Amino acid sequence: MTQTTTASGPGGSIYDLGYRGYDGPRLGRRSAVRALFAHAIRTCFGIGRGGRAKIPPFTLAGLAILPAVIAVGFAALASQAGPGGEAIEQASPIRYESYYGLVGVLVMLFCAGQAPELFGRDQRYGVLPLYFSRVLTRPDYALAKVFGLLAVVFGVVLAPYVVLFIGRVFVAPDPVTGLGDEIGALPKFVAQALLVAGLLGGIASLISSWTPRRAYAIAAIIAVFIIPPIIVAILSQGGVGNADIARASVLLSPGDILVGANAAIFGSIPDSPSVAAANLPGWSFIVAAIVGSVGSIALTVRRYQRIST
Amino acid sequence: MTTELPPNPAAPPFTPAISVDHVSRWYGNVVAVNDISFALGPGVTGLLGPNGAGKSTLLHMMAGLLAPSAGKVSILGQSAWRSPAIYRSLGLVPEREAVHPYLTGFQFAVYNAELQGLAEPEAAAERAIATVELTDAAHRAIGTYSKGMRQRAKLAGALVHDPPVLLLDEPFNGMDPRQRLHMISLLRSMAAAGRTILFSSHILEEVERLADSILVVYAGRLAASGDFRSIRRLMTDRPHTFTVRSSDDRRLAAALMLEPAVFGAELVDGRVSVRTADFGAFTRALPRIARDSAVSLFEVAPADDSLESVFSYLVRR
Repeated sequence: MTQTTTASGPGGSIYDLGYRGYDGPRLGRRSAVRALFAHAIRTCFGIGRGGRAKIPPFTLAGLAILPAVIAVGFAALASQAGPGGEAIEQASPIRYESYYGLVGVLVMLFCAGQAPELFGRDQRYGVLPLYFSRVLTRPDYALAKVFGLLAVVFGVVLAPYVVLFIGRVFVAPDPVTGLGDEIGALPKFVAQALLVAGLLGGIASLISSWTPRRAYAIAAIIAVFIIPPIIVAILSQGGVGNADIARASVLLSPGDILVGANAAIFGSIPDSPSVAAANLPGWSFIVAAIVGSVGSIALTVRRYQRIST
Repeated sequence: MTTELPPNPAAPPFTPAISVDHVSRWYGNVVAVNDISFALGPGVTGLLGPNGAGKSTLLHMMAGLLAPSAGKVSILGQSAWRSPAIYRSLGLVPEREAVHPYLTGFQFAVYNAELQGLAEPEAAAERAIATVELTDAAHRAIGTYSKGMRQRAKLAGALVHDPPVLLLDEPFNGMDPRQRLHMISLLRSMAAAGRTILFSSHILEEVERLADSILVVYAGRLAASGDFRSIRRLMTDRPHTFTVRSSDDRRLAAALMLEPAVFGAELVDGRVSVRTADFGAFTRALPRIARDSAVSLFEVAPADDSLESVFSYLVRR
């Protein structure tokens, strides 16, 4: 017998099961928040869950990055085409200012798919008391989860811009000159990625925190992202009601806010006719995105402060 | 059950029928069996544990159906994993149904005998069928058998090559009381003939009646091993209770309370119920106390010396 014997007699033995109390250092609240933040990031990509859970996030992230890869390939071909290449490159529809319009729906679907998993599961399985009975406070829990989702969405939005940026720098005849040409776009796309992550991630978090049912949360998030632009389009183009209200209503549509913010940041023409028709100052979209982000995060924290466990 | 003894140079080296040496088995992050070691010789040993404790995983490793993640399992000195030769010495009765319903009990035993490469499979099958007392139903399809009869058919299949080591996973499942009694006497007689029998069960009453010794597995760890009454005596942090019937219970109870090893005596239903922390001291002191008090003892019986009380203690530590 090789087990640690705690009691032994001629006919029998009782063994030490090896249970020990933990007397090591306690890492405290900050470490708990960090762990929950890291766990949220993993959950968003389905890491730690089954294989099927990984398919939607990685597929959507892959699809979001695909146009950037194509654009870089296109730019590389154009750079080898001689003098006519620049014209070909200029004709490419995949540019910093048009990128959000290309992948906005994918980012919305990403938020709709992952936020309910992040916020609903703990409610569904009734494990919130396990979190709240520890050093972690309720706002800590909510903020760690929200910022986990925001970090992932920020990464998903930013990655294609980075691919585009690096690709364009390196396909330029001289990378140093290329860097000089492209560096101006860097703060712009970082700002746009922050606004997209904040607004879409914040709204998805808020909605998901209200229901443990995944399907309900997904449907509600998609509805909030899809229906307001339709209503805004009807109001602004159909001439229904007060014209000023119709113009201002564009600031209640998350999708349109981000289109307007994108146009304001890159100084381009908005992709959406409703946003163009509203003719609002660019800063109003940026402010609306910031207010929407901060407001939805604050309401998510408030939801967790009041949630019954 | 074997225990560590000082080596005797004159004695031949002891080869246990079943040897489990620092065996662990994990599935991803789940540790099903955690560093378990024991060695078994001839006799009946009961493998006990709550659901999910790791009993079936342990049995599957002993049967060579599962590789240990760490450690070594040997049957009669041979590694259990990837050693088809051990099946000549090993009979296995798995818990799940693994019998074709269209075969008769006899055909099933014959097929097992043929798979073992026996020279006279039909004679061996007849012997095995007779051993499990299934002769009357031997030529009926197994699909028409009761659960207890199916268990016996499986046992016949496992016994057909007369193996010295028998592993049974929950053999009493689905058996009626008469079938259980029969199975108990059958396994006892096979153990008396020198076989090593290890069976898992969660029916403590059957284990208590059948097993010479027990292995208690809890949360993947070996919690205790040996004769359960000896294990009970090692549970010194839990008082022993005895019921004593005597010629003068009241006087005996008063005298017992003066004994340091006794810390409680109660008159219950014409008996004295005595609680003591020290089994040995009490059993030595009782005759002396009775003699000094001029009380005749008619009956002394341990009240909580059951496997159930031992098991519940071990899994709630």
